[in-house]
Amino acid sequence: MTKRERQPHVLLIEDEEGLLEILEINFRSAGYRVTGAADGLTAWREFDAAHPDLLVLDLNLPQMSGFRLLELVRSESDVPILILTAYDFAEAEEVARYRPDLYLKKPFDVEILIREANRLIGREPASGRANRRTG
Amino acid sequence: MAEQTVEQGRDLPHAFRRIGQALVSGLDVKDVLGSIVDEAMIQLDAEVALLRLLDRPGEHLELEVSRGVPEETVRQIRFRPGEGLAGRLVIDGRPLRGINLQQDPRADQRALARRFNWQAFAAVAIHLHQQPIGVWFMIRHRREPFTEEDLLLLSTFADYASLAIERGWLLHTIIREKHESEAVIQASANGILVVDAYGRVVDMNPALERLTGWSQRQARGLPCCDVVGCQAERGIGAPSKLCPLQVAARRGDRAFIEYQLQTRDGKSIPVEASYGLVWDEDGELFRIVIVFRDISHQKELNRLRAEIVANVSHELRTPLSLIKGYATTLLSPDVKMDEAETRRFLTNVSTAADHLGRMIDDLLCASRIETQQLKLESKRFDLCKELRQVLSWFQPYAPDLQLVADLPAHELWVWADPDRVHQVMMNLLTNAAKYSPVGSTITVRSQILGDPPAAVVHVIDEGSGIAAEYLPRIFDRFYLTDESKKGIGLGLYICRGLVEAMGGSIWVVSEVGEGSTFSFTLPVQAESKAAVAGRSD
Repeated sequence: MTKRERQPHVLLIEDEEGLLEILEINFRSAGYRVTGAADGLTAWREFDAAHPDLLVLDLNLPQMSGFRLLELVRSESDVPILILTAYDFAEAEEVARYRPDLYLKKPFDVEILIREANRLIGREPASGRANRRTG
Repeated sequence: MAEQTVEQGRDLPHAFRRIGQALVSGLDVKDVLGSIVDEAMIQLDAEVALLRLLDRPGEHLELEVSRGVPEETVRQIRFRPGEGLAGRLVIDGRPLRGINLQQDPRADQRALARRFNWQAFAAVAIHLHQQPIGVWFMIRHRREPFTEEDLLLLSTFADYASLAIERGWLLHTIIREKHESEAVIQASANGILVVDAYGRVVDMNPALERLTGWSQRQARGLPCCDVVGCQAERGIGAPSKLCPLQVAARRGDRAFIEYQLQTRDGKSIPVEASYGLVWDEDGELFRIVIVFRDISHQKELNRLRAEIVANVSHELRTPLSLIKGYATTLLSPDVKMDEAETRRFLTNVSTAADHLGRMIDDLLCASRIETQQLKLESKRFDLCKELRQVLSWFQPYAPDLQLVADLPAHELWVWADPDRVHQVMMNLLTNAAKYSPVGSTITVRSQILGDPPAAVVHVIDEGSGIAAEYLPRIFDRFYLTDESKKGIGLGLYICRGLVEAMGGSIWVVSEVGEGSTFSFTLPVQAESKAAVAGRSD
């Protein structure tokens, strides 16, 4: 638990500028250290360099798709991953191979997002429910 | 004396032997009838014979065979049901005879009889399945009467005639029906397979040959699953619950399945197969007729439709996510914001709502174009003025680009709906801006061209250009290039729909790295108000 006392670091990957801003503001307000990335390639570099405590990512990304990024991340880390997507769950099976910890569908409620993020990194027990699909 | 001659001359065994031979010889029905009539004439010692068949019940009789009378004359004879001797025969079916046709009160062809010196006669109806189908007259040029025995003999010949006719009709019907059904099977666009009760191929049509890659000759005798690749167990005796043949046979009814047909060269084609059972007269399964329909096109359409729905809902969800995200952030007790930032968030909410609204407008507009329910309010207006307005309106959305209006100094009158022209221009400019590098130029040029004259508008960008492979489909509904993945693929479809509805056309010239030029035309005058409107201002 002592490790969790420090400020948790989240890597936010979202190509929609407005949504990335929303994510950043909310995670910062919840006490996270925030790194944002607007494409898959930047996200991979950031991950590789900083090894954050949590990944929040959109699947539909330019440069490198969310799937490819998932594959790379999972090849070397068990970091908690929270997926945000505007697609239906048709690709859930494909996503499941990369063992994401949570799958949230857009549009999402930021309060639920933060609560679930906290739960994933073990900051505090989750009191609510999210649409858990895999993991 | 004469009667004796007849009695002595009769050689019935040989006569019927010859008739029998004619019947089994495969001769044409008319030739067989001719042989029967000839034999009867010899045996009955008659000089004239007339055999006619009812064309259709209740209609006049058509000639089949005549002897001893010119054909043209016979052709003029009209036998009507109920009238004359023939009519009587058809109605009551009993044989008739008489000594002098020229004076017989029952006859209606007495004049003809006098002309050809027809005297003694015998007449019978020809029956088939108890129905009269024709009449047969035998006539002598003398008054020597036909005996009762002659009548009986003539009735017997008539029965043979009836047999010949039935055989001819049956053969004719069978051959015609066989040709018809063969033509249907051969010409059918659907694949048709006929298998026996053990699931072995008996026949298949060209459509199925094309579908499976098997020829009828190669396939004959093989288990059907080898040919139509349903990968079920072999034949009907095999213990498989999956074999559609068995399912059909078990249910004693039609079966209907969809599956992936494996072609001879290993390709997989989605098909719909329906199985019809043919039973023999003992109630045993005789044949199974399977009709195959290639449904790959339909499958592809379904897949595309699902993809489009997924993509459209994804695109609608994006602004919705922004609205929800900003709103829940504003509501969050953890997030502290000053008034300026709150206002900026609310502005973003408003912009996202506008974006959502525009997408819904586009969907509705595309649907109206598709169903041809687009409402236009066309009028005469100055295109140059409208284009300048659009450019000044658009400039704030493209602060990093240079917008150039290369327009004539004078007015450029067109007949169109200015709001729709505005919509087309906004779509084209948005597209151009999307693929243009910072600092590049977008030029809008317009001129009158062609005969009949039309206004042409070009939107020229210096952007990335469009790959040749995309160009043919770029105006299609819901079409997205790899580069335009974000969006619902309606912008250019709507442009084309609107331009065409206004009587113009739209096209694009583009090369990768060289930029793109989208051009469209608008009529300079209303179609129905030719010539007048053009000069009225």
